[in-house]
Amino acid sequence: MRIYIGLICIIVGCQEAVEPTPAPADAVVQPEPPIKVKRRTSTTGMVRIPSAVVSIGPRHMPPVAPEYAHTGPPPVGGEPPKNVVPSHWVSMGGRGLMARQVNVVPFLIDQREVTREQYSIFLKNTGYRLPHVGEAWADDGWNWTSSEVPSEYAQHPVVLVSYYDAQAYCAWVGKRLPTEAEWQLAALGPAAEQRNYPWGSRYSDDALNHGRVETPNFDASDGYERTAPVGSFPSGRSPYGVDDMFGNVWEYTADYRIDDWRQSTYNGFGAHGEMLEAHAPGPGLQIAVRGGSFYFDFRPQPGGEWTSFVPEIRRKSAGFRCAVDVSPS
Amino acid sequence: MIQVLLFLIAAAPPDAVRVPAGTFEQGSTRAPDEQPVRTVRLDGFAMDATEVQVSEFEKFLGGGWHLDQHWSPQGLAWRNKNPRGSGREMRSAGRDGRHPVVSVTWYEADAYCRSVGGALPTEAQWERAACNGEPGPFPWGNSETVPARWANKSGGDAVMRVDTAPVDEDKVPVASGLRHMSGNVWEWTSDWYHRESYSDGDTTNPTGRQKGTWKTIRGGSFMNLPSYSTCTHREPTVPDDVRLTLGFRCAYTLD
Repeated sequence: MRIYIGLICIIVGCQEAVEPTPAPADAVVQPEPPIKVKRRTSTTGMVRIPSAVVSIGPRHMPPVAPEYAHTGPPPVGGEPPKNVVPSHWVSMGGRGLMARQVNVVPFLIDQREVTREQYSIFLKNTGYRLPHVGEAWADDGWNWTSSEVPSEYAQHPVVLVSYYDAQAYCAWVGKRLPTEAEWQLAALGPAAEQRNYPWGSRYSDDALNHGRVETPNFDASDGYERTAPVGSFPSGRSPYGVDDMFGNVWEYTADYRIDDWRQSTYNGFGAHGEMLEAHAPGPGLQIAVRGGSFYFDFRPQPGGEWTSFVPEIRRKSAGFRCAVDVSPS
Repeated sequence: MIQVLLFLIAAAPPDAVRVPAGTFEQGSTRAPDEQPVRTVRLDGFAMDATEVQVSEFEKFLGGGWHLDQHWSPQGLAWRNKNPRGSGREMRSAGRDGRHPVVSVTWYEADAYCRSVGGALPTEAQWERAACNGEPGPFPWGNSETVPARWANKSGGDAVMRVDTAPVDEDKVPVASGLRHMSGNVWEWTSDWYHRESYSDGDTTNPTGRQKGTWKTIRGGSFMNLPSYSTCTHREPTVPDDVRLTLGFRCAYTLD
C-alpha cells in the first residue's frame, strides 16, 4: 500500500493561486522527446515482392506426437477455416494453429541479410548496444568489443542481435521487419506454386549455408563453418532473387508466435477465405523466426524451418533483414 | 469562494527500502556497455521493495491516470493519443493482483511513480539497490541454481502465457529486502540508454544523457537466461515498448 502524507489545506477565500501538486523533488530531469529519425529510406538493395497469397501453417509436415496434434472442432475465430488440415498435422506456426491462407500486399524486402558493416554504421551513429552476450561461448569470436567490424567479416550477416535490436536497426534506416507472411512469400513464392525450397522443389546441399544435427553442429562442407558472406549462394535464390532465405542465419520476423489466429490482426477475408494482411503484432512471449542457420539445422524441412525465440535473446545463429511498404505513388 | 487545495508531500512509503547516501562501484567488465567501472556517489533514496503490482496499477488507472500533472509533457501527449493505455487487455490476463504489472510503457510507469510521490529509479539507483557494487552478479551472489524466477522457455508450449511470480514471493531472501530485482520482470529506469553512458557525465547522482531514443531496462525476466538478469546488465528499448515481461518499481528521495 502506498501511504501519502497528505496535507489537506482548506483555504476560505484564499486569493493566491497555488500549484496543487508540487513536482516530485528533482525527480527525473525532464526528458526530451526521443530523437525522431527522419531520413529518406534507401531502397537500394531491396527487391519488390508482388501481391500474392501464402499459406501459413503446416505444409508437407509429417505427423507428429499426438499431444501436439489438433483434435476437435476448428478453434479459430469467426467462421470455420476454409482450408482445414488433417488433424494429425501440426502447425509449426504455433501449436494447434491451423493453416490459413494469408494475402500479402506488395512490399520491398532487403535482397540480403543485414551485414555487420551495415550494423556497424548504425552503432557508430547511435549509442546503441553492441552485439554482445555475457556467456562464455560468445568470447570465441562472436562478441563485439567496439563498433568497428574487422574487414574480413564486413559482409557477413550481423548476429548476436535480439528481435529488439533488429527492430531498432530497421527503424533507424526507415524500414521495419517483415511479417512472417511477407517473409514466407519472399522465400517461397505464392502458395499455389507449392515450392519446397527457395530455389525449387528438391533439396540441394550446395544452395545454402547449413549446419548439422550431430555435434559439432557446425558444418563446413558447404564452404563455411560459421556464417557466410551474404549472397554467397546464388543458386539458392528465391523466385524473386532474394538471397540466403534458407540457411546462413535465422531471421526475425515482425510477428509474435501465436496459438490462435484470433490473436492476429487482419483486414478481413478475401473472396476465397484468405485472411488479408494478417500478422501477429503481439505483445507475446516468443517471436516467429524463420529460415534455419549455419548451426544445427541440416537439411531444412520442405517449406522451411520455423522456430520461436524469446525476443531478448541474442544468438550466434540469428540475424535479420528489413522490409518496407511500397509507397502508394 | 472556497478552494480546496490538496497538497501531496512526497514521502517514501513506509515499506520502501531505505538506501543511505554513499558511494558504490557501478558497472562490470562483463559487457562493453557496463564499462568503464566507475565510482558513483548517490544521495540517500528509498525504493519499492517489490515491483508494482497489478492491483496497485489498476487503482492508478481509476484515478491518477486522468490527472495531467502526473504526466511528463511527452507522457501526456502519449496518453492523449492512447486514452486506454497500451496493454490493458494483456496486463492482467487472468493473473491475480499480486503479480507485477506488465505491458506498461515508460510513459505510464513514469506517471504512476509521480502519482505516488516518487520517480522511476535512475540506473545508478537501481544498480546500487540491487547489488551495491558487490560482485554479484546477482543480488544473492553467484548462484544460478536459486533463481529469482527465470527459465529459458524457448521450447515453451503456451506462447501467450504470462508466467510471472507474485511480487512478494520470496524464493531467495536478500538482505536488503528488495525482491525480484533480478528476474520476474524487466524494470524501467528513468535513464536514456547510451552504450557509453559510464564514460561521460557526472558520477554524483548520475541521470544519464539528457536525450536519446531508447530507455534502459534492467533486471531480466522470467523468460530470460541468467546472463540477462545480472545487477549490471543493461538493455535499451523505446519508451513506448509494450512487453509481457516488462514492469517497474519506483524510487523516492529522502529528506
